[in-house]
Amino acid sequence: MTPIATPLPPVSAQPRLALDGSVWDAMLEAAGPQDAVWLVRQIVADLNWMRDGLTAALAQGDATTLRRVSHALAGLGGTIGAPHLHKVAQRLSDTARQEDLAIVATIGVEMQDTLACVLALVEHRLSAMGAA
Amino acid sequence: MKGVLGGMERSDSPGRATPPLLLVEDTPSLQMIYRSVLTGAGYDVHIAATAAEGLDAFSRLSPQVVLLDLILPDRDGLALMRDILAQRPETNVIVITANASINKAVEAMRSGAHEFLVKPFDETRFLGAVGNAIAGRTGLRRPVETAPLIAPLVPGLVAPSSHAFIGTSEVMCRIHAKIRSVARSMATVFITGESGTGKELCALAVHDNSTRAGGPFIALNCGAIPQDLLESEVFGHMKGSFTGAISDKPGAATAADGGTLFLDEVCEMAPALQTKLLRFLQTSTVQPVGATRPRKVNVRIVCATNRDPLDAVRRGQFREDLYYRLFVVPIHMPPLRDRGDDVLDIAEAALSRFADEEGRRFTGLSEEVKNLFRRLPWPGNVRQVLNVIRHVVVLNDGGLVTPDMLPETLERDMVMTSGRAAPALSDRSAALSSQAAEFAAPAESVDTVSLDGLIGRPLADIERAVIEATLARCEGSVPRAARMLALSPSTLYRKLEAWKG
Repeated sequence: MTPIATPLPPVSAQPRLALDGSVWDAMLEAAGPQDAVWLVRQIVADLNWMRDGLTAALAQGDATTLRRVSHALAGLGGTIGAPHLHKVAQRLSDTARQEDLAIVATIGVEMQDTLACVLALVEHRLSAMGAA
Repeated sequence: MKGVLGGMERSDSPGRATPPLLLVEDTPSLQMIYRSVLTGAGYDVHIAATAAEGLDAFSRLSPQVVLLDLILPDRDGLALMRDILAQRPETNVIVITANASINKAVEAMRSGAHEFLVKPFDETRFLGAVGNAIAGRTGLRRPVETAPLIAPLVPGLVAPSSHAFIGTSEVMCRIHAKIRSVARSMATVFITGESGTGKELCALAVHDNSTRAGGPFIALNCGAIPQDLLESEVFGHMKGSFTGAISDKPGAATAADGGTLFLDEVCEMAPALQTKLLRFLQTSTVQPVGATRPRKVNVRIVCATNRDPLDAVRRGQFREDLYYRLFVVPIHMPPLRDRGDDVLDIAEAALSRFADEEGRRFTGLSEEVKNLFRRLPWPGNVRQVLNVIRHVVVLNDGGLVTPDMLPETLERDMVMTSGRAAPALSDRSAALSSQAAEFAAPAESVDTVSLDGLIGRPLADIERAVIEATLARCEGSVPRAARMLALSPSTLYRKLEAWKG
């Protein structure tokens, strides 16, 4: 098994960041055994894209891109069973819509931290599927 | 954005003769998830990742149903939806978004969306929405309003005037004939009937059978909107015209230009607004709050109330000239108890639909339940039937519906006047029925509850006298009396029980 590059966050200390196993499992079941690995790889790719987009948009104060990325994060986070990611992304999306960049920056930091944790969790699951 | 599988349009066409669905979603992993759910359910799914691809795919495929994310990389999803509906208005667009704001929902529905789903949504809800759209049913009503729950459209084409009504009773056949007849004219239609009898469905049927069917249908519940906001809701406002008016707003009358404006609970409208409505009817012009000039609109009015409009006029609550202006073509929606076996058709259709949504399998209604349903007075009408069936489906696994599956409160909610007493479902039910009848003072005693007669009496006696008079006015119906008194039915039942003791 490929070693995990990113250390797992201490989930027991941050239980709200854990993935909802029932939602995750149902999603993989719907995909079917043949496509499950591809799906998780795609989720990792999407989360990486969203992380990069978020970082760039926060650095540039680009509210339009922030709205789009946070909206996508909210949708994906909720769908894969990451409710905290979903909530923070919704907050960021709402704040970006109001274009209050000071508050956006604050929530943006929380968004980046949460996203990093969820990404690590998903990569761990991909690794556990033997397909990292 | 391209991922492992790319973001170009792709199709899963298993070769089945199913109509194509178009999914416009830019996140590749979500494309995969939705596709797997939809193809697993037997649908032929085509995917586009951008608005441009989506419009191109739509033009080529002419799908009946489009699933559309609101935020796309190249364009606003609602703008794409408007283009889609401009090409083919009969397309059912299901908007999907992670933004759950009510403003977005209202905007989407007013722009013509068939349904609005907020991510994340579960598979059952997702497939239920798609199934409804394929079958041409609406899970949400076309116009979004803040009114209390109203019976959703129930599947099953029975009469030509509407795809929504179920039932073949003689009285409903007459209603369909009337709808077809009045729809063709421009005359204002005034729909009356008890709560839950399908007044809004009737209004929709009038619109759909008219030459205005291609235009907007805008519904407004005059009883659900605060009176100080109702003028703005009907006629619109200009930015800055009052505190909170942060932008121009067109108003329902303008939004309905070229189509139909449905005013539900019209008798709840405040007198000042009735005056403006009358002027609107006389001149066909609207003047938003804060505007300096009126604007001409071409709108057909349909209105409804569950009160007696003439009684409202007699009480001075509704302008007589407005009444005569609106009460041109009346349609009275019959209560369910007057519709014979329609209650069984409605219950069975609802059972089938709700069972599909919940992933359960019910085989039908037992003879005992059917006989019971025929006998019950259904004061809540179709809405009440749907609530009962929803209860049955959610709380039971499946099979034949038997009396023990029915809600325990069914008996209590069926209390009506002694002339139409609920059948004795149980000793408790019979006791409640006779209680309400006992306390429903004869109609001739209602006039004795005058203010003079109440002065000098203890407050508890005054309360009881008013409640008894109200029950008489409502023919013993506790739910109706409770609504009139702005009490919950359970509060009223408790008082009746206490007086009995």
